[in-house]
Amino acid sequence: MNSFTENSGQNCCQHEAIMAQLRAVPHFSEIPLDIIKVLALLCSPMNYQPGTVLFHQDDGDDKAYLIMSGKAELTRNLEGQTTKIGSLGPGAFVGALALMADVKRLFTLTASETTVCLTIRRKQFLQALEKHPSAHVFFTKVLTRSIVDWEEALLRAGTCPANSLGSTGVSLL
Amino acid sequence: MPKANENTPVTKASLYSWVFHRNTNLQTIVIGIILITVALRLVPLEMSKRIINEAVGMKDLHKLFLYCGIYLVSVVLAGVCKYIINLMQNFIGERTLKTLREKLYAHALSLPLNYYRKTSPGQVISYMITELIPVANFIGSAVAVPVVNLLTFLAYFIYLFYLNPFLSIIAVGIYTVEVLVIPPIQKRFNRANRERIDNTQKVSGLIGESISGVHEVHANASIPLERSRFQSTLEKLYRSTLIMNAYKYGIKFSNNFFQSLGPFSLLLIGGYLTIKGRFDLGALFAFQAAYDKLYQPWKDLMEFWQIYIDSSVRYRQVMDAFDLVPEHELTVHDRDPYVLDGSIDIRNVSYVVGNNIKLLDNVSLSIREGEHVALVGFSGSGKSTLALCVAQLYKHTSGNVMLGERDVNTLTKQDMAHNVGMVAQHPFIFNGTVRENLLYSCDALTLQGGACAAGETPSLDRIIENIQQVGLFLDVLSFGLRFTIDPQEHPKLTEAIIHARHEFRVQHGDDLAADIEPFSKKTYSRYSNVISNITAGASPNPEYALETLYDKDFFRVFLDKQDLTEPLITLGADLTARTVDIFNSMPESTVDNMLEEMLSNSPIAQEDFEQCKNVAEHLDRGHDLRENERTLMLKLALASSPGRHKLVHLSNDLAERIKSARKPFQEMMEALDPGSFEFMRWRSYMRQRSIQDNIVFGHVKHDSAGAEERINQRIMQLLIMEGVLEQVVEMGLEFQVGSMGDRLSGGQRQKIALARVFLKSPKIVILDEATAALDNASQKRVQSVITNKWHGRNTVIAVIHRLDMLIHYDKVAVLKAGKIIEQGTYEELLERKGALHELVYGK
Repeated sequence: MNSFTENSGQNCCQHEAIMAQLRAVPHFSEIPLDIIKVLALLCSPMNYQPGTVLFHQDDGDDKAYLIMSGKAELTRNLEGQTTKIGSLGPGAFVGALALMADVKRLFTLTASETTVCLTIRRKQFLQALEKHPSAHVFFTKVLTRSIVDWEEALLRAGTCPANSLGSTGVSLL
Repeated sequence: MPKANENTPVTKASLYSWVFHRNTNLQTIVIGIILITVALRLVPLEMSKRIINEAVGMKDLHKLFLYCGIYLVSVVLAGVCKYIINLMQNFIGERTLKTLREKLYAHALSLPLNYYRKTSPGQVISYMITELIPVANFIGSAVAVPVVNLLTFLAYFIYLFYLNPFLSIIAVGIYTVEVLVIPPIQKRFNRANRERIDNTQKVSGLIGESISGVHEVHANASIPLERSRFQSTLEKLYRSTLIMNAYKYGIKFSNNFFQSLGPFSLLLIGGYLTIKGRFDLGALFAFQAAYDKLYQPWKDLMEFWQIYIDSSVRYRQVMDAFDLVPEHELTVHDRDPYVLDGSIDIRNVSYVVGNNIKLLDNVSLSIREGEHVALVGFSGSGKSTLALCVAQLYKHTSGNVMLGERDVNTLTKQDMAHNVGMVAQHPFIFNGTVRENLLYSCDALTLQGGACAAGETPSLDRIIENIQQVGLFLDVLSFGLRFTIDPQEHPKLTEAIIHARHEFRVQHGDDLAADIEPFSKKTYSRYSNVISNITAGASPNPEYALETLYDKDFFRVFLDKQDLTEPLITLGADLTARTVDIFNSMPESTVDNMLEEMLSNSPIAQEDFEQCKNVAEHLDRGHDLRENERTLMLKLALASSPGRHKLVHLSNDLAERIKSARKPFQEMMEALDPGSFEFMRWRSYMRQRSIQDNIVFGHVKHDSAGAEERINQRIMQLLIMEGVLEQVVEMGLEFQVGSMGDRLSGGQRQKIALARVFLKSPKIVILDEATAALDNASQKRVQSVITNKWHGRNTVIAVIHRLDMLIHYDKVAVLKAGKIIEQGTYEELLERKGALHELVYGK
């Protein structure tokens, strides 16, 4: 048994621990507490043993991932070459675009320690937010802003040669 | 069967053609019996006249007994005859209904797919089931009822005429007036009735539609919308039924009026004549009796007329609803099904729908036998449409699709079954077992005189080979592992499982420690519910079923003795309060939609939820709980397991106390009913539990990612060693997939559809995004099987959305807006840097 479940067993039930983690995610900061309660009931934390894959590059996906404890490694495989992108720890919220529409995973996320990760399915997310369009709008706003910020950081780093329309400009899509 | 009926489509047959369809002999016999019946019916009238005039009038006892005897015999005989006629009528009606339904069903299934865009399943059901019943009743009575009543009417009339011509003409005159008055009302009634049937159809269609799409209704929270749609349709039905009944009662009124007019004139005129001595009393009595009897056949005839009108309206409506010619013949005539060579030539094919919308625009593509061709393009480009035209599911509007030199439009469904196989994007899985669904294509082909590549009834080995190829083997094994077996019936398997249990613990106990919570006498199991933690076993006796113990007196006394009742009720109450709190913060309509899903993480059953809400309110106000509420709380507490139910708060202290009740429980059961409970023992088989539980001897932690798969992999190895793998897989094949396969995942459904076509291995294979629901690794494996198994032998047309699969294809056709804009090998097209290059690498 992992430390997370055990602790939550002591204080209260698992549900409250999940709520606390969800509320710490910036994307959900505008969502009313009542809805967080519902969302926390709908999504389940999963335990991943070291070496277990959370999601695979090139697979289709409809889930977002919130790492609650442990550590996971992000890699990308290109023509047989595996590149390590970085590690994610507690509080990391990844794959949120899948809550908007089906996406193809461009990376592989593998647990490097025993990891507890909350998976949020799009269907459940949309169900919970159904009656709260404003929370949904805010979620989209955070998502959009993070895409633009990311692109701007790339451009600032000088990855924008002349006549490169088509390979740069994600926000133009 | 008459040949004419064979060739005319069922929807074109007239209502009366069914009356004699295969029934001519029976109907003749019916008419014969009717003649006897009618004759028998006249006897009592004549007897009653004679009894009054000859026996009573002459005070002749001998004649009285004789005539009464004849009277009785004729009445009984007439009754027996009527009974026989009814039986035959019923037989004819039901037999025809059966034939009618069979033919109509086959016809309905053969109608083009487009037809079912406009027709809901509910409508088809209502046509086939309810609407045809009165029609069948009519068909059964179509000869008997009019003949029997006309003849009876005529016989009575002749008898009346023989008694007194003048009076008989008056009597019939009244009926004649009635004939003139009633039909106009009848006509209006019919119109109203037709409208009512239409409206009934609409209402049932609407119900059928919303029920089949209830997930969509819930997803859109559109219950009020559906309700208002329903209301307006229902309103129309309500009105038309009211109007129809107004006419119906109008007809009844006229009937009754004329019915009373008869005796009135009879008494007046007949009485006058009798007083004047021109008519004897017996004759008047007989006349009155006969006149009364005249009414029954008359009424029956009128009713028959109504039934006839009603039935012909219904019949026409049902038949018109299906009156469409199937696009393709079902079976071959005067030849064997074609054996096609596998080449495909698509020549200038266009598919135009609606207002000149071109789904396909002059497409040409030529494919050699054994060649594998991929269709790619953005969605809406027509790639699926093209594949469906080749598969004969859509009928293109111009051009030719040649399958092995033969135009697809001229091929029958039977030819297609012999030569073509298809996997749809969202395959439909039928209610039944996994095996039945795997063999669906093969069984269909066998029934039409063909045989699958894997044999007429594929052996277990061939089925296993194919489910391995599509990657369904482990899934089927896991279905098999869910079965419970009776150790007495399967002693060898039981022994193997117990042995596997030991091996499993020895070999994998350590590396799977994180995936399993072992059954143990010493620890509290957080992945089991409270009741299992107390009993540590189960009983085959339903009296001791674990989920019912909360309500059993002996168990309640036991809990009291262990001082567990109050803490458990508090546990249940705490859970109830937490759960209801979450629901209270949600809008009502959302609660309705999500109740089932949210309660799946809770020990609260859906049907108990309302009561839980009351309990939560009582707790909130500080009220004491009533006895039935305390029982409910106990039920919840006993069903909860903190490992599965997030809202359950079970302290370690309480867990310890529950655990220490195990031994006393065992002692109590041994005293109460020795041998009734089977307690978990490492050496014995637990017959209440699945094969998987018996091998793992613990709980698979559902929150450990991939646990189930890892464990089943290990179990598979062990079962191979024990030599019982096939036996368990065979059980897995008998797994019931549920209605529309809802107990399977999307991937499993698609794998079953793939295995279907693998087993059949037809000359031409059409795959419409057939691997889209599979993960990356499975897609690659299935693709390599497709290439190895079929390349060079079976032609494959595959609609592909994963572009990295394209290297496995001989030819790629890129579609855009209904046209093929590029075709060639993958390498050629990439070099050309055209549309495919853009699809693969972006702009």
